[in-house]
Amino acid sequence: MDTRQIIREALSPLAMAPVPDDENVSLFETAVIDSFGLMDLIVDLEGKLGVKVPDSELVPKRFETIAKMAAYFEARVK
Amino acid sequence: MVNVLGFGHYVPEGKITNEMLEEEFGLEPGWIVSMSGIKERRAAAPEETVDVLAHRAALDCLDRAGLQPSDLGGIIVGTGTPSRQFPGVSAGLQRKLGAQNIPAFDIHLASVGGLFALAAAVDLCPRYGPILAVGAERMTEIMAREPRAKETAILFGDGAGACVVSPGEGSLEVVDIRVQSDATFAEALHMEFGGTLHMEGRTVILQANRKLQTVLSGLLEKHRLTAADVDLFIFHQANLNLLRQVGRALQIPEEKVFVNLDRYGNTSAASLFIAASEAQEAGRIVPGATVVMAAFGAGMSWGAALLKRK
Repeated sequence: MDTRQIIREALSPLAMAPVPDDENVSLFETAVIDSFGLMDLIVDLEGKLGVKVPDSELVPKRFETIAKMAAYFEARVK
Repeated sequence: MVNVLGFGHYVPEGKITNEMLEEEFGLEPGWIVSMSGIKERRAAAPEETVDVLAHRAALDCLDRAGLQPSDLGGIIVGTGTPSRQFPGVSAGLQRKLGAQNIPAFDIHLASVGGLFALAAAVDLCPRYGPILAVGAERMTEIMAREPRAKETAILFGDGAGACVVSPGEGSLEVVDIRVQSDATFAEALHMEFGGTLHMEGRTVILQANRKLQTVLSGLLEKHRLTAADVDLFIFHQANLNLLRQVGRALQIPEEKVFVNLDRYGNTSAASLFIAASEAQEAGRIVPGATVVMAAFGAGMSWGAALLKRK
């Protein structure tokens, strides 16, 4: 499955507002997800994509949009 | 062997309710409690300096431990809100206690200051005798500085907690304690002299979540324990959503996590000892109980402790 699709499916149950179609829209500014939802999302994606995000890379800006998230995980999926 | 001889705490009478803050910041009723689990927080009166808060918690602690100030071998205060650059809150506390000629110093790590004070006390007490570890904060004074930000003003309250540890026999053994720091994201939680609190909430939450899970699982694994073997978890009372998230990740039943942040908010360095003191008062630290404490704060720094009641 496409990484973006996996992200959207993982995001869906956590979203507090409609998930934007535009993958470059901030999920924080649109209140789609808060800090706690973001942590849940990252943990879920770590499991689904087999990528462990090291603490040093665990910063919100890397995961602010679906596009950034996809780029991050795609670069690390073996 | 090092034992906790007693906990103690003091919280001011003054209250800042969610209704007061919701009106000030134009927030929807219920927003604060949904974001944090906090319903109200305490605010010190003008004469209740950090030293005064620390002193009252210390007296409560010494009373419960059956000790006099003259029995102490040292004083360590964790605080992020000292009233001056130096000497520290520990100096004011030492003077008020009349416990002279023993080492007294501060640890400035904000919310994890209490746990670091405890860790230092555990290591120092075999050499110096009973050490009083205190966490004391006047967070509302910081929160009052302009520009006020709702993201932080809703969270913090005032108070002080204390703990005295001693080498030798006792009923609540400190089996293990571990503290760590990693300055990679130090700027995400900092405060300049006279300034307002700078807190990048998302970064702090992500880091706190991950570090707390790691240190807790490492501590349990080291002692061949699971969350099911622990009777009570006492965490720094930062945010109910964070406590629940860490608890879920480690499969800790909610009823095993002590919570009092609904009444006091986040009292930073004071929160761990206030919570422990109230847990002890409430009879939650029963004979035979295994207790785990953990906190996260500035630095960024974090840690956890394993205690066993005989």
